[in-house]
Amino acid sequence: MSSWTFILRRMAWSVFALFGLSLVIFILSRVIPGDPARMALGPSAPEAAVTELRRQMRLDQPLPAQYAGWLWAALHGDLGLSLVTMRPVLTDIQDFLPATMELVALAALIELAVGISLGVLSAMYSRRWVDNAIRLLAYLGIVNPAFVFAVMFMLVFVYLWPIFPAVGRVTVDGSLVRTTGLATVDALLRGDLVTFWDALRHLVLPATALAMNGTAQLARITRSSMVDNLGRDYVAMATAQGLDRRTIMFKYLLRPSVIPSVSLMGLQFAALFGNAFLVELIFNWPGLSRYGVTAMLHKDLNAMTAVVLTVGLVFVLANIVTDIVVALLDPRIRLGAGAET
Amino acid sequence: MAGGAGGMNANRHRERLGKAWYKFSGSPLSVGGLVIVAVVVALAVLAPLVAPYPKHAGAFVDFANSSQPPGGAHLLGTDNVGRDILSRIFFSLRSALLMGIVVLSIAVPVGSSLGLVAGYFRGTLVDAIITRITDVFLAVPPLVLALAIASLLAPTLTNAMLAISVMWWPWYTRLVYGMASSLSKEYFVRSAELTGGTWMHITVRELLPNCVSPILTKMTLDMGIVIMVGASLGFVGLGEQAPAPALGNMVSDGAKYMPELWWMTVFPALAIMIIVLGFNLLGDGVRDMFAVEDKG
Repeated sequence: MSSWTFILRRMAWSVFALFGLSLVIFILSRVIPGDPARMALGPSAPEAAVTELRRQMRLDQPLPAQYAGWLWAALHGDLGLSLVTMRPVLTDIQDFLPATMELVALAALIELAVGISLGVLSAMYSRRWVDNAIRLLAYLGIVNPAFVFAVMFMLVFVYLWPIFPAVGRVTVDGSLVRTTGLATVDALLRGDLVTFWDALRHLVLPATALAMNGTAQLARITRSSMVDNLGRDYVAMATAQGLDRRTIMFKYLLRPSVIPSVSLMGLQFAALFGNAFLVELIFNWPGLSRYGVTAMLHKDLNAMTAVVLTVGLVFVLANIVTDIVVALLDPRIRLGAGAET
Repeated sequence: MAGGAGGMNANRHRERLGKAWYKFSGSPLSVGGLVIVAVVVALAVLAPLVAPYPKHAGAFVDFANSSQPPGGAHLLGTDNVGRDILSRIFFSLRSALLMGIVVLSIAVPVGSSLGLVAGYFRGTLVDAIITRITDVFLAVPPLVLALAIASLLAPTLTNAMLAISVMWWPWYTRLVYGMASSLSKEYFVRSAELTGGTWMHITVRELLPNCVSPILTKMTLDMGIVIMVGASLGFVGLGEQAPAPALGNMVSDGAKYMPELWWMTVFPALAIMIIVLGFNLLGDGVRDMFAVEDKG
C-alpha cells in the first residue's frame, strides 16, 4: 500500500473521529445537571425569557434531534451563539484562533530549531560536559509543566529584569489591522517594522514558556537517535573511508536522526495546544484557549463545543502534515520498502 | 518433593528480585527518584504530624501574620491570609498523590483490558469498535479534553479525578493494543488456543504477563504527569476548591500577588517540579530495570 493511500485513509478516519468527538462532547454537555438557559440569563430573569431561550437552544427536544439540529447548523457554518460574548461563535473563533496559532507556531518553531540543535550538540559532544549540561537542562524542561515556566518567566523577565512586556499582543492596539489576524505577519505585510518588533516582543515570552517542554523532549530524542545511528555500519564505512566526524554527522546522520523528532511533533502539537490554555491565562493572551477556558468556566456550551472541535481539527491536520513530512524525509516509507514483514 | 519445589520457587523469586534491585540501585538517578518519591509519600501520609502548622491547611486566617517572607517561624513564608506555605504544601501532597492513584487505578485496568481484547481479536469488529473509540478520545489534546469534561461537572476533587481518568485510559489501550496484537501471533498463544484455552484465559494468563513491564513503566512515569494535569486543572479552578490546599490552586492564587509575594507561587511550583522529577527518575529506573531482565 503506498504511503499516499495510507494518508488518505488516515484523513478519512480522522474526520470520523472528529464526528465522534462532537457527539461525545455534545452528549456530555447536554446531560449535565443545571439548565444552560437559566445559567445564561441569570436567576432573576423571567420564566418566559428562559423558556424562549430554551426553545431557541433546542433544549426541549429529544437528544438525537438536538444533535441533528446542531450538526446541520454546524455544517453550514453556524456554530451557535456564545452566551458569554453574545456573538456568533464562529466570529469569536475567527478572532481568537490566529492569536493562538501565532503562539503555537512560534513555540513549535522554537522547539524544532532549539530542540534539534541541542540534541545534535549533545550527540556530537557525547559524554562530555556539554552533553551532561544539556541533558540536565532537558530533564528540567520535561518535569516542569508549562504554566510553571510561564509564571517563572513572568517573575524574572517582566518584573525583575523588565525586558519583556507583561500582557497582551501589542502595546498600541490601534495598529492591529487584520489581514491574516497574525499580528507579526500582518505587520510585516504592511512593512510596519515597529509593530512587527513590538508584536514579536510580546510573543517571545509566552511562546518560549510553551516551548520548553517540547524542546527538552526533542533534544533528548534527537540525541538518543543520533547516538544510536552512530553505531551503524554505514557510519563505520564512512569513517573508514576518511570522512571527518562533522561531515558524517551533518550530511548523513541528520536526516535519519530527526525523523523520530518530527514524528513526535505531531503529538507535541497537541501538547502545545493543551498547554497554551494555561499560558494564555497567565499572559492574558487573547487567544482561543483563553476564550475556551472562559467558556468552560461559564458553561457556555456552544463556545466550548466549538473550541474543542477546532482544537481537534487543528490537531488532526497537524498530524497529517507530520505524516507527510515524515514520509518525505524517510525514503523507506515513501518507497514502501520493508513495510509488511 | 513438593516442599522442595516450593522452596526452589521461592528462592528463584528472591534471586530475581535481588537481581532487579541490583540493577536498579546501580543508577544513582533512579535511586534518587525512589528517595524523592518515598519522601513525598511519607510527607503526604504523615502531614498532620510533620507540618508545623497543621491547622493552616483548612479554613484559617491570621491577618497579623499574613504575607510574611520565608524565614523564621514560617520556613516558606505565609500567604496573603496568613497561612503557612510549608504546611499547606505538605497537605496538598495528599490530594496530589490520591489523584494519581485513583486516576491510574481506573485508567490502567480499563485501558489495558480494552487493549488486550482489541489486540487479541485484531481485525474483527470488536477490534474496530474499540480502536475507533480510542481514536476519538485521542483526537484531542489530553489537557483540553480533561478541561472540557471537568468544566461540565461541579468543581470538586472527585470530578477532577473522574475527568482525568476518562481521558487517560486510551493511552493504555493504545500501548497494550500494539503489544497484544503482535504477541497474539506467537506460538504460545496458538498452542493455548489449540489446547482449548478460552479468550479470557489467553488474554489474562498468556498475553497480560508479557505486557506487564511496559505498563508498569508507564504507570510510574504517568504518576508525575497525572499530578501535573491535576495541578493544571487546579490552576484553572476546576479541581478542589478553596480552602483546601492544592498545588495548582496555590500557584494560581499566588500569581495574583506577583512579584511582591513571590514565595506564594514559587514554592508550590517547585514542589510540583520535584514531585514530577521524582516520578520521572523512578520511571526511568524501572524501565532500565526491566530492559536488563529482557536481555538476560
